[in-house]
Amino acid sequence: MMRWQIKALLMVCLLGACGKPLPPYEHGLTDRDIAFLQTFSIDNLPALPEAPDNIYADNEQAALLGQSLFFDARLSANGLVSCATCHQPEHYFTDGRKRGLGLANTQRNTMSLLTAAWGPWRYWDGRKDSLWAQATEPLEHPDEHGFSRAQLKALILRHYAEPYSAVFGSLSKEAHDATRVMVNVGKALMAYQRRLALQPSKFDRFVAALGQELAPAMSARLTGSELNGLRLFMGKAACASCHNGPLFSNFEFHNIGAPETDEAKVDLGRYAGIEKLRNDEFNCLSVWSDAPESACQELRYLKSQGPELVGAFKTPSLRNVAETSPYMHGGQLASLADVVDHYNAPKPPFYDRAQHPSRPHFDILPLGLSKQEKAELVAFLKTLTSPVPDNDAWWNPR
Amino acid sequence: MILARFLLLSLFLLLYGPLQAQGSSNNAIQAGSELLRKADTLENQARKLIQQGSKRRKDIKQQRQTVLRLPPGPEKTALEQRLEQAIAESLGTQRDGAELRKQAAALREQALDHFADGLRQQWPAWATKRQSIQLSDGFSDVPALGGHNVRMRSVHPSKKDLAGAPETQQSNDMSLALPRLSAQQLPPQLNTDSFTFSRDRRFIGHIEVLPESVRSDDGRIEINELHQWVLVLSDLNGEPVSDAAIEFTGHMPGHVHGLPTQPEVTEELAPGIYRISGLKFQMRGWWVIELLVSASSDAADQQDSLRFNLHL
Ligand code: HEC
Ligand code: HEC
Repeated sequence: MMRWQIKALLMVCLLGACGKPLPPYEHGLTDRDIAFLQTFSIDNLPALPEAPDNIYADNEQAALLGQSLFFDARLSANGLVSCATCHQPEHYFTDGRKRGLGLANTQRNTMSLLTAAWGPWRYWDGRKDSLWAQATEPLEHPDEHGFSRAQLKALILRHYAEPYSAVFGSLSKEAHDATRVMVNVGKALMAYQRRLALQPSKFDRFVAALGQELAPAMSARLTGSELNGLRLFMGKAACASCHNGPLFSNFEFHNIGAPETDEAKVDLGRYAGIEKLRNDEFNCLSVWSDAPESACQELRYLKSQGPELVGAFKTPSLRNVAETSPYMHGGQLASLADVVDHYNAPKPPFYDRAQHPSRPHFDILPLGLSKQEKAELVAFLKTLTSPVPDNDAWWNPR
Repeated sequence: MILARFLLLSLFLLLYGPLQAQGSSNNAIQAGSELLRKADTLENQARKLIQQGSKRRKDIKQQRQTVLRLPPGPEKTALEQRLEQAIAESLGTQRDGAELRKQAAALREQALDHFADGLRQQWPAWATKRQSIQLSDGFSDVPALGGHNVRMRSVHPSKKDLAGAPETQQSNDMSLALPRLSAQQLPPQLNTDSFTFSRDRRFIGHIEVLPESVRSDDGRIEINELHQWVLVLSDLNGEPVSDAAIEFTGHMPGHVHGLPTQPEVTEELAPGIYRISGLKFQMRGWWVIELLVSASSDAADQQDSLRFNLHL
């Protein structure tokens, strides 16, 4: 009885009322503030980027095939690893581990896939320029699926001959050598990942209501501390200078001084990523790409020099960030509180003359936030979580 | 009909051809050239005065050393007074120089106005705007979004002392406090003209977004998206500068970093009209774009420079 009462009271409190009559909702934002916040709203997410390098990118049959392959652990040396082993839908396509674990431990933290279709680069170091080129790497990597191209082709022949041929043409054709099959598997996996959509988060619903000059629904009202956190994010804490736009990312590379995962073997980030990208067997300019050379603009105008590339990593989207711990390219920081502590009093990047080509550039300043302000910033980050959809057939195996 | 147009055109060329050959393709440019010449004359005079003044000050300093060493007495006092007077005079000379320099700058601005008008008449398809590149979301005027570090660099972990937090600044109709770049002191009136004279005043350049390369209708750009510009390059007679070699650089003042891409001139669309491809901006704030220009007739190491400010 007692327990039930507490629960009921808690429910009411959660709704923001705590038994007292509701005060009128004061957010204190001006019209221009709201217009500015709209540039961060999921409602303003541009259409999926065009993908001239993959003519199957928006082919539904290809997406369905990709969906099956994504969840199929037979695509691995031990029959136990699928993409979904590390990219788990219930964890917003991450795995909750410091580093991904397939056949062995990977070098980096598993990234969410829900925003991966946007921005020109894949991976923390941007060493791939498309989702299809990216997908070929885990398939072959000894720490991940550890599969060979020949094994993959045999598996497709045995289990996916029909849906594969329906999209890409008959497998018996000579053109479908093992590499071609792997590339097509990548293109199907890309078509699949482009279907993964996000529903509005609390922040988006809040901004949408204010944009229409409506009082936000109870569940979309930012609390006082969430609002303060939002102000800090856009202002004093300067998070929005890199985490901007509807996906809270500029998709570019910065060094924010996340602690080195192994000081004896430093991670050069983008600096090393550029070389890999240029030499990638599957980049936009490769024979496997469907794009004409003129469509590979990002590669054509690639920045390949500058101290700012050393130890720099891709700005990750902050959508669903509260649900995708641990954080940073090596899972170095366990919680959002740790992340905010880091930004508040950052230690400049580790520099070792013997290992670094030049002194790493450092992109952030200490913030001088109080304990309360730090908590508010975290409270705001938690408003960026979209619900896990329960009626979206793309989020789970069919 | 076509023949009539052809005849008209020939007539036009006949009448105006000689005028063009003399140097100026239209009145605005001619007026601009004249003003610029005046400005340069003033600037030269100003430089001379300022140099004179500072040379005189140096001499006086030396004399003062000698005077200081003299024994006290009426002679020393008289000499000291004379020196005081000389200092005042030299300061006056420098002030006059500074004043002339200001006038020269004002004339140059007027000259630029004329040139801008002239070039817009001459290339209505390529030169339409006076304001340099802006973001489509309309928040370019917000006082510098985006706090960002420059003062500190990476250090060995033994050194940990860091100090200083970014300041914030509020714009009138926004209650969100936006970070002012602690290292980016935006000049109070940043000149974001899309027309500029080159450093050596051999060229005048104009930059503009190529409308078909962006999503918005009004030629504004999106943050983080690739797009293209046109550069209109003319000499001071209004003649297009063809076949120039152009190098492109851009950076954020006060930051160690530059653009996220390496833009390049990829095509001469028409004489003196260049396409610049591969442009992208990943941050709001103050950007300085510098174009290093060598005309085809220049010596190998001769390079003039066009500088533009953007406030994104
Ligand atoms: C063993 C765990 C593991 C498996 C299996 C795995 N991934 Fe990943 N994934 C990772 C890790 C770790 C990263 C980040 C690696 C890096 O940046 O170096 C990543 C990054 C990505 C990215 C980049 C996202 C971005 O925003 O740039 C995509 C896309 C992706 N994986 C898709 C896939 C697909 C498709 C498969 C199946 C073919 C797959 N992954 C299998 C762990 C895994
Ligand atoms: C200079 C650009 C920049 C600024 C400013 C910035 N970030 Fe980041 N952020 C990044 C980059 C780059 C990473 C990835 C760094 C890495 O892995 O080494 C990152 C990572 C993160 C992560 C981890 C996300 C994940 O999935 O692992 C969080 C959370 C985060 N930032 C929040 C913030 C907050 C809060 C602020 C403001 C206090 C902020 N950022 C300011 C660029 C920036």
